[in-house]
Amino acid sequence: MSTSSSTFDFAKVRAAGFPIFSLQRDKKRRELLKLLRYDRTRIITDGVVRQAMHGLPLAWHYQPHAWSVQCGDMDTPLKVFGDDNLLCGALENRKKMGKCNTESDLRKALSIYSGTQSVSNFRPTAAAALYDRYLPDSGGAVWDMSAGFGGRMLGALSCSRVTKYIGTDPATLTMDGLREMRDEMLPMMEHLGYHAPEVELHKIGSEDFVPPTDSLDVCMSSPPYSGHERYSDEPTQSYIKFPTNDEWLQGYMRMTLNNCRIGLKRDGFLVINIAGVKRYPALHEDFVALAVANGWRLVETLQLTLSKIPGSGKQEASYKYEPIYVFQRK
Amino acid sequence: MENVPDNQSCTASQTLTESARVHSPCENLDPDAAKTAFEEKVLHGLADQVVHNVTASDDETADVTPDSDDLPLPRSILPAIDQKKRITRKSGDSVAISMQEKRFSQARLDQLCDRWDNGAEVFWASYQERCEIVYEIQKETAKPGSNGEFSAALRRIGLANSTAYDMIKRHRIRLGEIPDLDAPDSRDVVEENSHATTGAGPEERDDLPEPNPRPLRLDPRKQATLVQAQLAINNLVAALKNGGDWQSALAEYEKVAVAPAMLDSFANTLRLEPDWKSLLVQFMDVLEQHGDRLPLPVLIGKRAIETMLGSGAYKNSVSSLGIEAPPKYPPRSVGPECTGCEVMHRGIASRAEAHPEWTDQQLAEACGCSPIIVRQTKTRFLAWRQEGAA
Repeated sequence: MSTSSSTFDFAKVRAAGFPIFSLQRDKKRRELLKLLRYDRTRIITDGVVRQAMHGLPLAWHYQPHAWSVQCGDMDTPLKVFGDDNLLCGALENRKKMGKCNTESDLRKALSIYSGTQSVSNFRPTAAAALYDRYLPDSGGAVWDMSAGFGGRMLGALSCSRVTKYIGTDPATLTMDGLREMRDEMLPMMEHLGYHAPEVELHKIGSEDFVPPTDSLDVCMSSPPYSGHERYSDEPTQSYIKFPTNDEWLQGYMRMTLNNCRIGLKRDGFLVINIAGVKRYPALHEDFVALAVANGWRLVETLQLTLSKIPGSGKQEASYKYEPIYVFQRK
Repeated sequence: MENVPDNQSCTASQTLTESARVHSPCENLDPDAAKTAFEEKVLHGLADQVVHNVTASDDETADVTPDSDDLPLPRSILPAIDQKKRITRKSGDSVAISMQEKRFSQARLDQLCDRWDNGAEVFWASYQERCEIVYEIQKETAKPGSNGEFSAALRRIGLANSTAYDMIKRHRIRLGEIPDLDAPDSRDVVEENSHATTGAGPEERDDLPEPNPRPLRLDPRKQATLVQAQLAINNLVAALKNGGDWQSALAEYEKVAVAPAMLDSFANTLRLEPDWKSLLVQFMDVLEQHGDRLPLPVLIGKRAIETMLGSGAYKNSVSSLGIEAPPKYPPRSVGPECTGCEVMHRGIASRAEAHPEWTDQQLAEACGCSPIIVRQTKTRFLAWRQEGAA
């Protein structure tokens, strides 16, 4: 709030409202086409899954409530926007780092401001590259145990090897967004001349969903990190059903792994993106130990590239990575 | 009446059956009359078989009149049939099926409307297919048993009357049911086609003189240049032949001579065929910019042309032509002129504030949008106020 320009920006930003992703039909088609045409052959290189943002605005369009999802004890971008002091601070901070002219800049400013964290979405391009890697040439069915904000679903739509996508998620708002995305994207894809896979969505937790035996080729997801991200207040949320770390791991994760075991074919793959968080630093290690103890064999570990962590002072910005564990049945 | 003896009167009201009744004198007089009578008797039997009054039968019924085309019975026996009698046909009978097809069927209309709804309405189907569906609907609703169903069907599929009739007309022209008044004269077409047959070996009419092609003309200035050069050459040749002053003729020619490069440029202007490849490349560029809005058949055609040109060849041709390929997705200005659905969101937000008790679903229905748009609105204008206050 020290400069007059920031005051001006503040008023303008407030008048325009929170910078949500809102795409008109034409823009949606452009985003979808960009994703469908994206060459993802070099996404996975030397065990690192690189990131490309194609299709992400499309996924966010259907999930406006994601801006109010709380991660740990951090503030949400929506809260920063609603607080005059925090908003001015975020704008000033962003200007120090570079330009702050577009809605995209503003979203970044709100997401990375000190004490703030926003939820991330799985990159559709990365999901498509992983499906390409683990599905047979003839194609196959995939189960996304925590469908979340639709990044993996979009990846499945853009991957020609996916013949059927099954998504489960217990959050009502999230599932509404996924369903609307499905209803719009599938006809759009057909209209653009691409064959769309079958999409099946269930508003249920993965711990309760039992897929048909030997019906799946890949189970891939990024589960909620033991209550780190609270997607809703509904009692079906895993962090409410299993409040402690141990209960969550031994309850939610074990039951989910068992359901994956039922549905996955003998030569199918279980692909899980999970990482330690402040609330549970050893989450990923405990998860691998649990999986191995429950009849899974770890066959590969990849590194998933996430957004850059802004540098402080002279330190350059660097990428953050999270592990992706790939298992097969023993 | 040749078979009737002269001594027997026959009134017009008498039926043929009666007139051909075999009396003993007739038998004696004319054997043909007996034959006719026999045939009529047989036909009666056949008629009894065909026109059996199965009144107890179930479904399709049809009125039979003496003029009916369905019954190949001679008119002579038709009076014997009760004209009011209704014939009941069994299902599966070919005649019954054809009768069924001639009557209006709601199920078939529903099927056509479904075909329209499933793709044709949103232009997934080709124009011809759309026309065909509308024409089928009109034909179906024109059958007996439908009362003003065509207008109702058009309302149901949301198609304007004028558009529908235009589509029907075009489809009928395509089927050849009605002439196309806008089509070029058929004689012109024949003349054009006769051109196309030449050059592929001896053909019929090859001996005929070719029609004069349309003369190609340069612009007057270029023509004058060529004429001057030609005249100078003629003078030079004449001087050389006659042993005259060829030096001055040569000097005159050198003044007006046309350089080979200029001749090429003249000749190029006379070329009939344009450079199709460069045109095609430019056309593909234009299509590429609108690639996400093109209908499926166009996209398929576009891919075929891309394959034909080859991606490498396509790029090379672009660079060799000196055409600057436009960006695939020209950047959209997100400046002050783009409000990013702001007006819509503001409208919904004001309504949401006026009715705080409404659910997202109710608000969406009231505003004619999806619940996701309502949630976007709330996130954009309302939710952060509560979050910030908290």
